[in-house]
Amino acid sequence: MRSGEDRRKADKEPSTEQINRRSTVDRRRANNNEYITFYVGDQFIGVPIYDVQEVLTAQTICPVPSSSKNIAGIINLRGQIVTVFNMHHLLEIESKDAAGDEEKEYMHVIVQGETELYSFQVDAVGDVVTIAKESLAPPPTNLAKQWVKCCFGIHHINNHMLAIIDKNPLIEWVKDDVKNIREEMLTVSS
Amino acid sequence: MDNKVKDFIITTTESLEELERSLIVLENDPSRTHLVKEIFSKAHTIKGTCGFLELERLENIFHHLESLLEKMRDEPSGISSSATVMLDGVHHARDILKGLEAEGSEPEGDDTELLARLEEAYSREADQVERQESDQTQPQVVDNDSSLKDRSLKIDVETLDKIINMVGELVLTRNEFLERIQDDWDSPYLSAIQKLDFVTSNLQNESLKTRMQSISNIWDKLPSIIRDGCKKQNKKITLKTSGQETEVDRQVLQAIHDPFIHIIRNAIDHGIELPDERVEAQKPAEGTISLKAYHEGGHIILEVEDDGAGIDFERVKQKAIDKNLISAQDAQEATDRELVKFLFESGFSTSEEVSNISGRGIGMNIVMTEIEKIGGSVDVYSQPGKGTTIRVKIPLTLAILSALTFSADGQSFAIPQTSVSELVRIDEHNRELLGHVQNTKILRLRDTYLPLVNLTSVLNMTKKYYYESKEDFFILVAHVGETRFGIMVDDVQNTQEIAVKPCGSIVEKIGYYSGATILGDGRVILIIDPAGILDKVQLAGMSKLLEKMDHEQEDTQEQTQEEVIEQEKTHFLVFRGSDQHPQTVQLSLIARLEEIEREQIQERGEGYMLKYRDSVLPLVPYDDATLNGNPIQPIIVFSDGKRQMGLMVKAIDDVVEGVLNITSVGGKRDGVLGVSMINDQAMEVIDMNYYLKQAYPDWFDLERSDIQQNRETKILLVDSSQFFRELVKPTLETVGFIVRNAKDGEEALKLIQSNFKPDLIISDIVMPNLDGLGLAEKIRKSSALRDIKLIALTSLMGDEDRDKAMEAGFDKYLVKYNQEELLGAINELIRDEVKQ
Repeated sequence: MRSGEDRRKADKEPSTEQINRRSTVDRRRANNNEYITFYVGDQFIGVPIYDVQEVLTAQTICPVPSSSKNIAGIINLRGQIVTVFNMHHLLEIESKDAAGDEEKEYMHVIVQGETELYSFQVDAVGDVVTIAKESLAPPPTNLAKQWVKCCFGIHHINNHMLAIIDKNPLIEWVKDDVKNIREEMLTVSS
Repeated sequence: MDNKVKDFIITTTESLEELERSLIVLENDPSRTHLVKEIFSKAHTIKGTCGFLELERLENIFHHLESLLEKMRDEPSGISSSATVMLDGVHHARDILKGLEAEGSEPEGDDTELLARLEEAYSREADQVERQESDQTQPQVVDNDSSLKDRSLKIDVETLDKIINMVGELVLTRNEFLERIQDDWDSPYLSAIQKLDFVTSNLQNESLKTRMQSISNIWDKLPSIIRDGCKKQNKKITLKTSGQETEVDRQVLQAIHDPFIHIIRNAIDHGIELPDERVEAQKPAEGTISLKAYHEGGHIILEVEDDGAGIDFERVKQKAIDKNLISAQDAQEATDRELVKFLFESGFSTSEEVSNISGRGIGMNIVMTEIEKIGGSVDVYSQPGKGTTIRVKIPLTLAILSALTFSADGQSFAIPQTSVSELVRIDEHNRELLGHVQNTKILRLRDTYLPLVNLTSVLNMTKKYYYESKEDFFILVAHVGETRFGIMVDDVQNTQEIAVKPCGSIVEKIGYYSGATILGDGRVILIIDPAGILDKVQLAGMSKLLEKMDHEQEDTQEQTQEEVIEQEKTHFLVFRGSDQHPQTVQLSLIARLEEIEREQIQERGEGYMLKYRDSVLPLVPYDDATLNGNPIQPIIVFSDGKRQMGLMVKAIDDVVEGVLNITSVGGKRDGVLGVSMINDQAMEVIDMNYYLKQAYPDWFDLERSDIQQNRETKILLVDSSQFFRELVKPTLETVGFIVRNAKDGEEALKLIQSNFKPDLIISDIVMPNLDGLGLAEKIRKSSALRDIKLIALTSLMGDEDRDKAMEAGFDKYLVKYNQEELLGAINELIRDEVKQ
């Protein structure tokens, strides 16, 4: 069941095309006051717009067996393979929908890592918002471990608490996770 | 305009430019006589083409140029004025060429003045008169012998990679189109897509060429490495190379760089002996390392040969025993070929003590791993005292991989074809092939045991212990280095060329996947890395144990037999049914191929037929869906001599040559003899007899009289190839003969002595134990057996072989394998007997 806010958000939801067009223009300006917002479950999250290459609607995901639960799989972005992060799992946000609902259509926020692209798999994409640096409040201190690492500010906007996050700690987190799993696996089998 | 003429204009314009450049250089500096040769050969080529295209004016001019050049070449006098005249000739020719381009034929014109000047120059050359003055101002040109420079340009490799990537995308998009349009021959887009297909394929081929670099990029470094090595160790070595112009993809070149240098270092350090030792061994003091590079069927072969001490197999043997890799008893029987394997063992190569084995030691394991990573292989041949040859086989490019797609727990994966040697299907008929030791499942494959890997459980997928209960599934027999193992999967789908994409640094770290690919429908699938799987299950130890079991069980005769089969190359026709899997049938069984219009096919009761010449050709669809779609129906016509039938297939692809090494493991589908790896592709080989019977359900009634007669004839079929026996036996049985099999001469004699006295023996020549010739001689010598008819059926085609066979006592000598011919020969021999 979707909440009233979700429905409102869905009505107002800009098309991915709009965002993509805007983000290209904005990236050129490299305005670091602008954020692309999205929802993971109920959580309203923003990432700096210059980190985002584009936003995609639902994609066919190829699962990667034996990887971390933080990885939803890989997708084909115009011939390039992009690793998809399961944001629910990564940010420890419980799915509102029944667990394992494979029919659910997620959206993909494509972010640029140092050498490759990653996709944040999110429930819905919101507006691009402008927030001045000084009006960002520091995050609370009692957050979960990975939140402490990645969240660098919060802001109240349209009756929503927006958490601004940095992609890099998340990428590192997943990388370490896979490395640990691999090592564990090798020790177990030997 | 004729295409040929167009081509001529393009190439000749280029050649004229080159001629002009060379002539200008020659005009400035008449001493550069070596240019004359080049100019001569170019002019000669142009003249030849002109003659072919009947361009008289041009031919005449170039004829004169050629004679003049010939004179200059044979008796260089260094006259620059001749070069000037020739330049005028070239300019004149260019004008004619322009006219040709505009009008499509040679323009009218008068060349007499030019020809006269050329003749004059000719006589001047002939008189050896030197007249070096020239009234023309000389254009100053930079010496530029290689016009190549002007025709090539530098491009950033990154740009090139991007272009190639895009082309890869284009290919996939093209595939998507082709897949969608496949069954729709009326589509308005058909011709556009066909054009797209053509252009894309060409574009792909051409763009891949841009990344090719010649192997000399590596080889050029070798002289200094060898010089350094020689200095350090006081050795003398010469380097010989051939094929340095062989081109390989840049990525491949990078990948083989280190392993290749390693091999060379090994040859210097361990291969070539010190000068004194060499002289003592009656070899020249100076050692030789020869490098060879050449193409071989989609691969590049690199050979490094040294004339050094070779591998000391005794020490390898001792080391292997010490390391418990082989039992002392087995070691005594092991061939050099088997011992070489141990050099690639990781423990073997890194150990200090072994590095002083006179042959190869250190790091061969690393070399092997690196080469295998890019889908290549390494072979070592060595003769003690004479030298060692290392043969490296590498793919032309890494971007495109031939892969087998399969599914496990509902998900599709790909695996490189090069790492799969065989496919086995397991169902209720051959479940007994499976066994287990503790928790490890084992497949009994012919005479060996293979450990099995449960892919769904290794990958931690949902259905972990799935194959315990699954009724039928497939086993991919994979190999990593010398380790062979089976991977259990749900189903095998297809073999295809795929474009390999990096799957991202995170996914790569997992270790099971070497990349990903995008299928024609846009789906992404992962490429399984067999080495990664092997790592995980730590099979190395397990499989060694099993190998030991092999050694104990292995029948050495069986091995020789395998080798004999190995040598038999056959031509196969590759076709597809509606499921798109490549199917094959031996070309020798096919009467011909036809393409007929759909309307001509008539239904007849439950079957189909075609009015064909003056008779009726019954048609059998290869599978239910082969009939749909195409307005043109490809048909393979089989004939058994008396009757013929057409097999309707979806598409006929290709004729390939390959070794038939069939795995007729039970549980195969009707109409299929088994699966064989042909040119690295797993293909089903179909059974013609099955389809013949479908076309003629009343087969036996029609042939009753003949068959009745044949029933009285007993035939013994002797052939070392199990496949071949299975192929021929049913054929003979269908026409009524009573047939028994034997795998070699010895077994045949045993059979005859026990209870089976045949009227006729069909025998192969090359067989283990007692070969065909020996068998024939024995039979001819025995008074009781002398009247048995003997037919030799062999792949040896030489006249000498034939003579030998006839001398040994064979009545007929047939080359494998024409069914009609064989039945004819049998009939002839038997009827003969009846008459007598």
